[in-house]
Amino acid sequence: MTAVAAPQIVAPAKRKTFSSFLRRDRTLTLTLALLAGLIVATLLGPLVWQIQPDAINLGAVLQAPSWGHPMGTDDTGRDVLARVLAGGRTSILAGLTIALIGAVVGCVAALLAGSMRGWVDTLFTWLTNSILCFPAILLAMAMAMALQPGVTAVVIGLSLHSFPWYMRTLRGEVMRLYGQDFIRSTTALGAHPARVLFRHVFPHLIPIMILQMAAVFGAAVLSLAALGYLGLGAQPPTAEWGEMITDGQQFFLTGQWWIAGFPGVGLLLAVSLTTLIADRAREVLDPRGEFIQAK
Amino acid sequence: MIRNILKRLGVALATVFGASVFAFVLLRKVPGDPARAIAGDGATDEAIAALRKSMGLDDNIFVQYGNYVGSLFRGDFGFSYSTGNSVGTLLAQRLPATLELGLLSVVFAIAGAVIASSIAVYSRRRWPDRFLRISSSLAMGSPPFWIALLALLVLSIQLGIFPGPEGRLSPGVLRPPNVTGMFTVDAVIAGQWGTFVNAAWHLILPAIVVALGPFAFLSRLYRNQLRGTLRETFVTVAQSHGLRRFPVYARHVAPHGLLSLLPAASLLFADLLAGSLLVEKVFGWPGIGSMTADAIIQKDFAVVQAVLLLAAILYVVVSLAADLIMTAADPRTRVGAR
Amino acid sequence: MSHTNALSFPPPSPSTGTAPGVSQDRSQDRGVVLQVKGLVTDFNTASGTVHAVRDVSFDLHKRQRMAIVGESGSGKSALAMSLVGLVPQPGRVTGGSVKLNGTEMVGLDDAGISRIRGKDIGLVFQDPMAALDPLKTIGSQFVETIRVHQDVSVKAARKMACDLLGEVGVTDAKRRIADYPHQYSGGMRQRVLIAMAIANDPSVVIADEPTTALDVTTQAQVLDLLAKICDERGNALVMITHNLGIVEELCDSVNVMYAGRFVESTSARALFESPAHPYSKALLNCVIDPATTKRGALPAIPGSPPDLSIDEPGCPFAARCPIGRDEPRCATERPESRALASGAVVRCHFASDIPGDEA
Repeated sequence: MTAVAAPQIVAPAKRKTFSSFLRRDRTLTLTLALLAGLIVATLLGPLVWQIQPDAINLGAVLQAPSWGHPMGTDDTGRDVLARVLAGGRTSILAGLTIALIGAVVGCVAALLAGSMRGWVDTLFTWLTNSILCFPAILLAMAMAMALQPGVTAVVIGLSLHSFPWYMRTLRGEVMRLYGQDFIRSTTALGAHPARVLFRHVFPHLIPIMILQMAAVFGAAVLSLAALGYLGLGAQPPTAEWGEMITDGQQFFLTGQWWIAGFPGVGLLLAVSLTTLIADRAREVLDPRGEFIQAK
Repeated sequence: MIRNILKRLGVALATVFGASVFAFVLLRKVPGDPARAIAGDGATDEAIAALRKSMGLDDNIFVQYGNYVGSLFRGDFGFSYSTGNSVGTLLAQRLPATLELGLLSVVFAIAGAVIASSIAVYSRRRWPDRFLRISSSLAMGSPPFWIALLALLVLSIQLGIFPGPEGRLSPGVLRPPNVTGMFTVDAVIAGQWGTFVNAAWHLILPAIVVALGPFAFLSRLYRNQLRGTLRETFVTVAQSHGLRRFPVYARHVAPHGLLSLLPAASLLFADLLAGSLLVEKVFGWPGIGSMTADAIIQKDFAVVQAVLLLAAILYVVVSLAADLIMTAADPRTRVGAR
Repeated sequence: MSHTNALSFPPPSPSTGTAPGVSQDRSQDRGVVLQVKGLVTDFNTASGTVHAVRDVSFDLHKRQRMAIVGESGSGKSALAMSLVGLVPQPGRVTGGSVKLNGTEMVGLDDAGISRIRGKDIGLVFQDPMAALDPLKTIGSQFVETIRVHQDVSVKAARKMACDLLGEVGVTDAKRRIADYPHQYSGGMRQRVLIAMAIANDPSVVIADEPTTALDVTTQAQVLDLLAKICDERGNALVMITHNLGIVEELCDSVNVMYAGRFVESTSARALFESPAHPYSKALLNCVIDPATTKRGALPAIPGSPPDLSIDEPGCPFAARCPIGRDEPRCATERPESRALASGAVVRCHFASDIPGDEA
């Protein structure tokens, strides 16, 4: 049978700038702007809003939101806005730390396990399974109990739970990449295994890692708050959203909703916005939707 | 097939072993002496030494682990110092309440996720999908304990639709005769309809709050799966044979989505456990969650260790079961190629 | 779907379609079963609107076997899907008309078009491996296909399915009907899909590159089967392919598609003997003849197909065309369809009947 040597169309790749992308996707622009605003506010807010987060003022207890105290004051007269800003800093920095530690450790482990296979892989997989069968929050609690309740213990506990999760996903991707022709051909051409690993395998992991970091960040911020709520996270006088909700809990049901209300809104915004952005990023970076399931 | 099952069982056992070692090491060998924690700050060194000896903490770590596993197999989960009960007794008391809450939450989460994402994907309009997307993102980001507070404030205190944080029954309502420990079920068994209504009324709000996170997780998963399946060639082929939208959806799209929910089951249980840990405290629900929260604050190691192990085993068992059901339900793995 | 013609497209010229001079045994003087006029299909993507099908018109006669050939991305698959209203998102038929046995298909709602699909028009797809639901047995999918259009019992439908499976060459059909798709080989699955497509006796069968995904030995068998079935049952066949060998062996008439348009419509014999459009000539030059081709030098058309999201003013083939490269007219004026004396209908300013004349 004769055949036409049909030239394959390669659609001319259009260079898209990030800004043109943003202009088209208004939802993404809005969510990104909100999240950026939240982060900038929590990081730089204390420079503008001069009231100290732990300045007690027994002359102004349980005041409703007003111009002087836009988010009111708590039962010891501390300014809720100042505390929400300070608490946001705690949460966001801790969340970023956890996401980063997990990503670095998980990625190294995945590269090792995925490229060396054999007993290294078996060992890492076993370790991963053994850690992932605990709920993250329970592990962080146990860690807080075993060490010392506080942000450090929670960060250690949550990082311990996040790295196997990165590793599990990334390991699968490393394995998949090694089975693909472009990696096989690079190896066949005689490239050094380390070069293959870092120049050809690793770059493909980055988008997946970024998506996972967003998910881990959201989950970590929530877990940190949950532990703070149970009294195991940030310890007073450190301001932290979860701990503030505990503080305001008794007043919440009696009408002074602002003490526990605003930190909750902060949490909701930080985590939901991250989730929304990660969602959109997933559609762009991973259109097949294979790798990362929202956790 | 048999080999496959055996292999998975092996992996599950190895995982449980790893988890038990992990829980053991975490709670025995990290800084912070359990005996000192139990004895309290005021205790003398002699008293602590004696306590260490009675707890077996001076033995070799391997001996300690052996003893620990040995007692587990005898059904002895240790002794709770803060409550003065054996951990086994505590678990038996608390488990039914959590089980009742957890099961209803599973039902809410799965039913909600399946219905909502089906509508979002099936609808030709765009707003149901957007709505689901935004609401699930919000549910994903909502701290369950805060939502619990909010729900209590609005739904019970302001509107009075649901009871306040008073536990499983209104004060004055007697608990039904104990069969399963789940009040709604026991009330039905005993034919006490008033008690059933009261128990259900107390159960619904905490169950919805616990279900929120898993609902968000599942609905996103199910929606993405449905949308992926809709793009499959066999869906177009079925349409080309003259099947209308709904039959194609019901017979060829939905089954694939439902199948994909199975592997998520284990994650769902982890989420539920974490959720109930926090929500039980707010609602005064006397389950495992509030027990654990108290035990951690009291540094009651035996309780925490037992709960950690229980959670791990539950996770492993659920994922193993999901795995096996998946293998059995999918013809591609059930029936070999010709 | 709307009926409005996109503004950028001229109304279909009446002379397009199968060439009047095409006189082949199977298509002569029989009624028109499928009539397509000015069909336009657009894909609204984030990076602009892709005009995949632009002003396509043709008549398909009873028992006729028509080929649509073109490179990948020429819009031929989009055309196939447009004919049955199954253009994948974000694609949309934005203009023109598709009449099947006199019934307008464009603009029908789900219920209306579902009554026609599978019953009056059958489709065979490119990738048989992905075309069957992996969770359902062959039998249940087949029974479903029959019972959508015929009021028969499950048992009777199963009997019909068994017979059809036997007819397309599935051995031991009674037993194999209870199997799942993954237990069938690719060629067998394509046979099953052909059987399903003709189960309700459609007057038109559209085969969208039915053999591309199969290995070479199976390809011939499946094509022979398709031809045999259409012969026996009297269905008209639209064969969409990039394989000129298939056209030569199987089809009466042929439409050469380029950048979403038919650039030449003629009889299969005429195309191979004297291609009129420069693109057709280039295509035929690419047919590999082991006897004459020099080692290591596979013929190819220089350049690449145009970006379908741009509505260029001139002839889309101009940049790659030996004539159009230097002709200012080809860059500025889009050629309309015109009939040549030979009967071929071409979209080219310079095509003429005498082979080699314009070069």
